[in-house]
Amino acid sequence: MDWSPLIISLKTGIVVTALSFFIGIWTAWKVYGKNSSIKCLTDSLLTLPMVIPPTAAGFILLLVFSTRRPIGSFLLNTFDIKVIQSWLGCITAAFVISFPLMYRNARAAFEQVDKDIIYAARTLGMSEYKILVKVVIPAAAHGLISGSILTFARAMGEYGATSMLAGNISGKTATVSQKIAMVVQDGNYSAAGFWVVVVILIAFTVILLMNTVLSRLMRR
Amino acid sequence: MSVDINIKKDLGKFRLDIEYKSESRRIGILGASGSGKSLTLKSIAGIEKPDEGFIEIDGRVLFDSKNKVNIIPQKRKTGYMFQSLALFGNMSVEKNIKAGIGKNADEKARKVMAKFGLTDIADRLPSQLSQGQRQRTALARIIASEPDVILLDEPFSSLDHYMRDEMQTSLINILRDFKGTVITVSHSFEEIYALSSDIIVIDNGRVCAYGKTEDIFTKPPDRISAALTGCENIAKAEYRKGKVYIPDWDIEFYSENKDINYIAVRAHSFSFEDKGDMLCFCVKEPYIKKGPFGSTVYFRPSDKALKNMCFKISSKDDIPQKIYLDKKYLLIIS
Repeated sequence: MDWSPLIISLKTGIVVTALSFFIGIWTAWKVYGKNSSIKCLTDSLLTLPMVIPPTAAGFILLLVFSTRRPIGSFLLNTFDIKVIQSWLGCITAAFVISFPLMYRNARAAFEQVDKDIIYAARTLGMSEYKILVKVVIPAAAHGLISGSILTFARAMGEYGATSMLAGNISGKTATVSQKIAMVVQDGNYSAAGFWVVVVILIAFTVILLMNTVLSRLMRR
Repeated sequence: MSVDINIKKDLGKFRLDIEYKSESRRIGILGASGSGKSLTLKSIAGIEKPDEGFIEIDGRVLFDSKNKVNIIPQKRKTGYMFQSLALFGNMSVEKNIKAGIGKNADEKARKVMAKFGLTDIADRLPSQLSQGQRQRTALARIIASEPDVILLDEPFSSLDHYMRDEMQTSLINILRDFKGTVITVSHSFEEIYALSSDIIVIDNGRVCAYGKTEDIFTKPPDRISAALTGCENIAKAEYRKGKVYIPDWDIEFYSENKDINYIAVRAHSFSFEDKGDMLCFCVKEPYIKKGPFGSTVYFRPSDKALKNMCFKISSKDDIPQKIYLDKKYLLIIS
């Protein structure tokens, strides 16, 4: 039994969630203090990948990272980094698609935090970094956790952009979603059913985990 | 100069334009809700940025738009007590207090907690505290951060009535040891009176009166100050041939002072007996608003009167048919 699609999906999900968590929180915090027109513009730009079809996002990524184009060839020639048809492609595609979920959840969670506690922290002399880590993140934990879990679930299940950018190379870039599409095309419905059950189990575990963590937080 | 403020901020529908200087270290800002008093306090703390102006406290320039000075809130050394108290919900009492301390946090926090009677509840989260304990924690956190200025934003509004007196007394005691400037904002004249030696009365974003607290309460210089300092009876006055006529109450009296716009009378200033040369008011159509330790009687001073007046009586007294006022209690507002 080749478990590589599950391992690739899990690895992608974990790495993308970790990246989205930190970058999402950082971006949301930077945007938090800005005026409403900057907030509106940044929100629109950063939400775009979530709204356009994943295949369209994948196509744009393919154009950007193609080794025949400036950025792709620069990365390959200078740093020996190849994004297309590699696991890095899986991460890039899943990150672009699922990052908006983390960002939007973090933004919404920060907006819910009582502004007075941020102001109080400032007047007490706490640095902006300390305020973010010790005051804002704990107060916004609820939204940040649901954001992370949704990001993980979205990254795990990513198909459209990943298939365009990373391809479907068995043992290298073939995620569970891609595996299902592939085995259905081959007419192997029992294999597809197996992977569907795996995906459902993971999705169920994720939702269960989210509900447990959130209900614990609610009780506090 | 202890305080020198001259700030302007345009918020579209509301415009703040405050100019005030004082040598006092206990200043109260009295104003109705939405008058701009909290915005003024937040501008001092650096939470809000004025469009232009100047803020100097105890010789330190905190904001100066001309010279592009805008010290960040972290460096202003202002302890801001929020109406909501703004305790960090995820931190214990001790951690809340330590949040604003730099070096020797353990030792300083221990001393402050002992002073505020918080040692036994040091490990509790704010959600596990009573309102009074939360109030003490918020104040202890400010004192522990060793500010130069303390800003109190409606400090007792979140407290039950019975807690208010206790906290007010303990706050006065704590602030007695504090050498810096304390600016209190409130819509309650009682709080302002208890905590401030000088006051500013703010209305609609502008300073309408300022001076020694006693003076403003004894002789409010304008109608807004009279109302905000708790004066119950205020009416427009007209000067006619050596007499002052008050259409709303349909009364008149002789006066040499021609410069009168309003007359104000505090409800507790009336007397039930004529001690000579007093103004007399008929108590017509009285109705009583009962209070636990005395009541307020609203009445029509004459059949032609357009507005009611009111006076205080103790719960044992019957409503008199006539009441009297010594002219010295007529607050003349020009």
